[in-house]
Amino acid sequence: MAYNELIKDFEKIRKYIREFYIYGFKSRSEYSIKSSRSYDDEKRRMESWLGRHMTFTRTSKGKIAAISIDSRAFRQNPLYRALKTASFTPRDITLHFILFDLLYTDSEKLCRNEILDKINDCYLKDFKNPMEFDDKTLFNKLKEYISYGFINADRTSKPFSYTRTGSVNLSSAIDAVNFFSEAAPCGIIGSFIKDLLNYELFIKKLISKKSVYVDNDVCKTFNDNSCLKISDSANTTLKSIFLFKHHYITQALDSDILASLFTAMHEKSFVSFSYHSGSGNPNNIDNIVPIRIYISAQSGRQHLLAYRKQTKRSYYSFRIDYMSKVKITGRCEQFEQIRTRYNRLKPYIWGVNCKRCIKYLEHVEFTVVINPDENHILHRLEREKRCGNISKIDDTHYKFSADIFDTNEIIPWIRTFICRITQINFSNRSIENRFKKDIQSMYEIYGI
Amino acid sequence: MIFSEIYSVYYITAAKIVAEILSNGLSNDNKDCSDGGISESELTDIINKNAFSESILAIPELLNSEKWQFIQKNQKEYITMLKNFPSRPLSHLEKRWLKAVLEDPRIKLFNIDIPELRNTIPLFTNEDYMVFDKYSDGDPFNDEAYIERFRLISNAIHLKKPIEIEFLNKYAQCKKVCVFPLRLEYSAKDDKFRLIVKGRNLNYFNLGRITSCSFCSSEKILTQGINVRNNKTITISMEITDRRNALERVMLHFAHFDKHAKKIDDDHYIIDVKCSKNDELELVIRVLSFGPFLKVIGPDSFIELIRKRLKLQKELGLR
Repeated sequence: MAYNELIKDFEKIRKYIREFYIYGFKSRSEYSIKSSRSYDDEKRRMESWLGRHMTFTRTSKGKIAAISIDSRAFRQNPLYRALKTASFTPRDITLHFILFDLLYTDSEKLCRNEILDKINDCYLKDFKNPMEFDDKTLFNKLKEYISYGFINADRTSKPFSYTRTGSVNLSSAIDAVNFFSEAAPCGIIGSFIKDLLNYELFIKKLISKKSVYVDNDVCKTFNDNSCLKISDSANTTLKSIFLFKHHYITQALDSDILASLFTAMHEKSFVSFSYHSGSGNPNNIDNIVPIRIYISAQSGRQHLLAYRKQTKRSYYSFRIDYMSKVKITGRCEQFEQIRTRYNRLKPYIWGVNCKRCIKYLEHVEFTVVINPDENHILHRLEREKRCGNISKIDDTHYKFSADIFDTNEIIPWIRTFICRITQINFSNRSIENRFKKDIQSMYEIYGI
Repeated sequence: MIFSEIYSVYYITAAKIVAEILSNGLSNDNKDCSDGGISESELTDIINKNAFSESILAIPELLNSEKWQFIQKNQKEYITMLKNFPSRPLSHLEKRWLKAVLEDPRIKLFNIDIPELRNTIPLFTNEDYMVFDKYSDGDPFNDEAYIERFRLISNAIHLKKPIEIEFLNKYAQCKKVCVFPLRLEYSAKDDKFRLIVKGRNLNYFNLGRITSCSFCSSEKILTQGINVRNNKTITISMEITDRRNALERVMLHFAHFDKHAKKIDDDHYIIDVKCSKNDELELVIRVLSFGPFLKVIGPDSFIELIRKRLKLQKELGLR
């Protein structure tokens, strides 16, 4: 099939973008996701979409392509561009633009016959090979756009008539959209809104630049439909005033998965999905009740904490970036009870691992030395602990203790206090021994 | 569905092409083409500005072969059959996301009201997700005085106007300074905003430490009394030993930096991470959290910071 820079299915390239951005050291021959041809096509697409962020290095193994982005330097996640690449047919785009040209205000009501007549008589007649749209095609497109929320159908009229949905005034929301499109889950949706606002501002500036008479019907109609009700386009800017630190931009690639899981939670439903955690084949996971999304601001990972009925463990966490093909499979009548039970267990979850009941808790405690003039360290301990207690042992020693489901999850945090730890005591002895052994290894590595 | 053509770069680009054509037709200055139209070079310009780098190979061809039957090539110009500037309403998904955002505690920072969304169901609520490892001493997003300062600073950035701020330094001393505010930087981990300003050099102020602020005149800009930080970058080189999934954990953890990685052998990788010198101590802690599978190999000054902590630890002993 001929190369096209647009794609039908994002899933294919999602893995490549992750590999290029997160790892970025593999040569062409080391990619096992698909064939070499597929690698070439996807690399070419990434270059086209994200060109300035691509880097290339020559090694003995060949040319290595990577995506390198310091996310702190950008006001908008550069990877959002990759999610705006869905392919479409010429008929899709033609019908889209003509439909909204016909339904140009929310007071313009047309039935399907009228729409079809106008399409053929007013829009397509001058083309050498005009497209032909039948009632079924139009019906399907209208149905699709009703589901998107673009169009309302008046089912009381005979035949049904269609109007566009009303506009929403977002003039006061520009800063909020700029901020939350980076700081809230599914921020890509905010980026779509930004694109729309930017487009509307572009038109308003164009009207002003080209001295178009603003009281003509075309300009008036556009202003009525606009989300950006502004009087002064010349001095309006939609540029963001925000930058973001500790900003894990790859989460954008999982936006569709996240949106489906949120929808399932809202509908109190079961989900099924495909799960690919390693190099083997993906597993199909079903009968999952999504409870909550756990987003890490420190590791860049996002997990789904879920309940799986008829299993011994009951609670599972799934990496969102390993998931694909999420399907909502049916209502879960016990959804509220499951969430209530989870809420009772929540205080004992350090990271993302949860067990069936508190009899599986593990005890963790460690003591650190904090001198009287090091209040900031005590403050750090306080603000970074997610559960548990801190007790003062004497003027220079403080003990943190907690009961949690998985000792492994707290280890990286305890290591951040290296140079202060005087004692550790874990009920899980094998992890305690491993922790001590790891510290010994670190002494050896650095020749201490 | 998020991955859809209706939100695509191509749809926006097509809308802008139509808009340019229509505005030419409606223009009072229109002398050459009474019906409106754009030249090939204008088309190229719109595509290059709005679409992808290879789109210039695709879009003109689609138009020339009459694949998009709302734009037509007529002689040397592109014209349109559309009568109105293209526009689309917000989708359900966009409205539901906005509604979710309106329920976020941080929304109070913004003076925003969208009555049209009153009956919209949010895409997610605080029950549906949590940032589980953010620090608990985040900025007071409910505090009226904080909100007022946030809005004044936002306004000053938009207007490019200087402000006078009073802040508490790390020794809890109150200082006053006039600055040009540039950006507000948010950290999800700290759940805090920092104000980036222009003085003698770039400088940062935690918004939570600013006690008051007001507009001031440009002449009052002084940098005296500010501890101007060093904005140099450093490159930290580290060797990853891929045990206990260390490679994936490290690469993902440092993904948000400008970085370069290479494979040494099946178990060993080198990663160079560029970061601000100001964040060096934070990086020390982050590196230590990976234990023995992440070894710093340069620069020497950074290795010394790690060694110093390990030496202290060894002296303390560990029971």
